Amino acid sequence: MPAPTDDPFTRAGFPLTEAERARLAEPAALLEALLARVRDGAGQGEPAVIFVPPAAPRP
Amino acid sequence: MSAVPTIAEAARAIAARSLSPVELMRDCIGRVERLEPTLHAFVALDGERAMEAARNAEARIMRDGPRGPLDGIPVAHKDIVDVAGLPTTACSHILVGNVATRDAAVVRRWAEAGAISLGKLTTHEFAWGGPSFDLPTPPARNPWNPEHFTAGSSSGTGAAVASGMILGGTGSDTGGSIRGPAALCGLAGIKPTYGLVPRTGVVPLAWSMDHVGPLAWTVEDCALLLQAAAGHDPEDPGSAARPVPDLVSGLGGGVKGLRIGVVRHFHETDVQVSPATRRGIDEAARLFGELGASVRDVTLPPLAEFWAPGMTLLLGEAFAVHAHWVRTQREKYGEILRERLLLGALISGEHIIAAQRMRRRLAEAVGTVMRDVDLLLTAAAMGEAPRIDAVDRWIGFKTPSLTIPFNLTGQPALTVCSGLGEGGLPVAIQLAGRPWEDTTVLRAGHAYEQVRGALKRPAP
Repeated sequence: MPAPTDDPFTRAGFPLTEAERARLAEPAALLEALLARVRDGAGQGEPAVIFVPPAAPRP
Repeated sequence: MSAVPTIAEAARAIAARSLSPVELMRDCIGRVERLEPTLHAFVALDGERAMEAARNAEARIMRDGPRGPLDGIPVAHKDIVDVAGLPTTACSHILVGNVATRDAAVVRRWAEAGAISLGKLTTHEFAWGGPSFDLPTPPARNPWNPEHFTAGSSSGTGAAVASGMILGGTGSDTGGSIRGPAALCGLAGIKPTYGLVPRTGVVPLAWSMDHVGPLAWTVEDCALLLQAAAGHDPEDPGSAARPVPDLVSGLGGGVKGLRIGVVRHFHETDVQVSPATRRGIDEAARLFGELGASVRDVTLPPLAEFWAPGMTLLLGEAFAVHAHWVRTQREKYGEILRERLLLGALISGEHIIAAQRMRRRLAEAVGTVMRDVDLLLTAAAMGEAPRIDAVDRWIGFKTPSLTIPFNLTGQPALTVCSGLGEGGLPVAIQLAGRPWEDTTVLRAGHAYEQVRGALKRPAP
């Protein structure tokens, strides 16, 4: 079994090159802030229907 | 070469036999030949087939009269939209050599209405990755100033319509990709209600937020193009089986009695748009009031509350579309899209469900406000187009988007040019309506255009 890693890209199955890791450091931090906003904003105990697009029933 | 007509003007002239579809197409091809080396709007030009189709249309129209307002009208399609016999590359090395074997639904419907395709138009890579300089073809340039950005991702459509290479074209809009180029290129562009126009034959970016719609010089032209594109298609699971509204005949009905809510905090507090953009919105609100609408400020959830789930879903769904290619041929992507897609690997199921929960609540919040107003008015973009070499590739992760709220909610949203800013480049307003009230959005946009006055075309 491979050793566990703290790197989220490697954990997700997409190991980065050093150059990619450097370039993605800032945007990954920006994304983490967005995801934190989503986690905080979603709340708990929501009903199972999560989004209904404005489309009528189909035949 | 004659001045560029709108679709409505050309249709009237063709019906009156005072404009030849062949001459119209020849003029458009002439502009392509003159301007394409600067603007890079096209990735595949289908000039011979278009001229042949124009000759056939002319003979048929002389014999039988036109099929409708799109008969003989030169159009073109974003390069994520399949046109049989032409490559669909999404402007990516990944899809080089991919030739479409059938028309996308929107292509087929426009062709059945008589519109003639002149070819395929530049897009940001897979409708999300630009402006990039490492793709098979260069990015489109803004006809108002070729040193400047068109916005994206329907960048070639924006450039080609604004410069008169075509009279209208297809765009797609997942976070603003119709409304952004329409705003920065001085056009009208509508993201219709989710489900009104099928996405069949269109390369997906994020299924739950992808919309197909037109860009054109005027709102009336957008209405004509949207009318022909709308309607159920069982091949698209997101396509709604409901009657197509009449988007055209009520266009001149004005705005008297409509209630318009200005979402001032979107463009003044949540983000700060340029002074010219702000003046354009204020002037539009004043004009709507003069035309008989009641106009007042309304409050929606902050823009960032829409932006966070919007970006999460966009990244998560786009990653699902591309995961196989990211695993197997990552190096073929342009750098910008490759890095955005890699970020998508960090999106979890928990994030997606949380974003969808927020989405439902946000849609309900907007719906509640829209019980008391018929339309929302705000900005479509931050301001004039930046220089193409000064676009921050991560801006979408730093600044809330003015357009993505209506991708989340699925409401119709229209960009209309409000004039030129301090730099001589276009600025724009955005009008959004209730789901399935595309007609109201178009009617208000058309009324605004009439009092705003005609705009001169750019002269690149």
